[in-house]
Amino acid sequence: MERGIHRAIDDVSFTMNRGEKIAVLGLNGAGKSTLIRILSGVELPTKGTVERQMSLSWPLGFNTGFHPAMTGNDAARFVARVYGKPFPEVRGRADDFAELGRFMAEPIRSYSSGMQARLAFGLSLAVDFDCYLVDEVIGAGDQRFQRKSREELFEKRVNCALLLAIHSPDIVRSYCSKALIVHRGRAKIFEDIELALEIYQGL
Amino acid sequence: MSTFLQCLSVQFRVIGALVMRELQTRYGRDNLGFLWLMGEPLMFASGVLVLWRLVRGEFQQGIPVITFTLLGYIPMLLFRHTVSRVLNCLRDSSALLYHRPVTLLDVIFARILSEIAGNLLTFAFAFGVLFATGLMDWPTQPALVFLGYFYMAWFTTGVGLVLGCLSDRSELVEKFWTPLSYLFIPLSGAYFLAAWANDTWREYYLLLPTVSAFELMRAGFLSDYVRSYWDQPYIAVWSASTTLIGLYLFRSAHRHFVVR
Repeated sequence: MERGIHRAIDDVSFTMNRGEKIAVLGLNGAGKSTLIRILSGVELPTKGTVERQMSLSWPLGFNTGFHPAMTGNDAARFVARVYGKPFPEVRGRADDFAELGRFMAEPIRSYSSGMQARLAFGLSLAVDFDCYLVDEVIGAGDQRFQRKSREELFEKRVNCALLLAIHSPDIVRSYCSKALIVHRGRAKIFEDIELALEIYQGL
Repeated sequence: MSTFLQCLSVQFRVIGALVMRELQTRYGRDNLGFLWLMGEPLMFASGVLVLWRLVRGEFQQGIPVITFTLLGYIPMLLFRHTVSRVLNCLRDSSALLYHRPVTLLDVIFARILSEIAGNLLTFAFAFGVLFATGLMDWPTQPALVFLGYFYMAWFTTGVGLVLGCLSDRSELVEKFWTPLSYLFIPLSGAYFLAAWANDTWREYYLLLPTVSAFELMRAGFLSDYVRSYWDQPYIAVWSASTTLIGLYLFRSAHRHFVVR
């Protein structure tokens, strides 16, 4: 049996400024999730540092502790307390986006996957982070959710930074100013979006 | 100084949120919900009490059996149950750590605090029922009861912090804990009064730190029947050192933490 160190990602270095929208492109298994975990702070890099001067959301699209037995309201209460925001505001704004209505009082295990995604998204919007980490979530979902999430992230939050792991070229073209291509554990920033997309299609 | 207080208030808020989540997710909202936090240990305690009373009669060696049994069982349950819930607690906490204000220490504290709260409620409820039915008397020195319980809770917290952190680094901790936890039952002092030992053996007996906690609580209830012996500074030192070691271990816990 072979043992050794597997470098999920190696020698990655980039800067993200306020309001910048960066797409993360790469095949599955290339190291995108590891990169997001390191950026979110849940995993510590073996070498190097992450300097954060913006408030950072939890990675949208990851499982982040909203237990199935909790109700939508419980989740809102949790987020409100953890991030120090008033509960009525968090709940209100989350439901404005998620449109769950009376389902907010039902346990999350009774939600469809679409409803769960809308709740998590809505909660993160309620906290007003400086930077959002999104893992492919806005590429999926029904057209209403896609439209609303694009509106929230790209039109209403022009000044928010965004790191978006995505497969959809249209969104990248329309909204992102830079692309980070991750391939076999290495990563490089591209300011030329068309070039980056070409390279990505060719991987 | 204000940043320290700010950090502390953030930590309290985060731990509060985690405790609430703990209560919501362990028991849900159907079938009495979080009252099961008490329900589990209460069922055990009642069973034990009934059995002892039937087997031993009302008094044993001049001491009311029901009081003696309850005061042995509840604190011991606090320690054993809390520690078993703390082992591998961190393993399932990756999801929570994605929220930047949440740290591993918060997760462990929330677990320990919710267990202590549950045990305290159980104790209060069991005593309430037994007192109302005349099976237990009001404590002659309630302050000692609180003090003894406080030491037990503090000692449990310290051990919980150490074992909670170490269990995340090695599976051996859980393997060793299972047999040791059974050894703890006789060695804790739960069912043996210090007064029953002769003078020389009593000194050695008091070297077991938890004995002092039990003796303090017993003094609170049974001072009319028997003399109790304890060593407060001793158990305080044990509690403080384990707590400090635990907090120190948590400083590097994240580095060793494997995200699942």
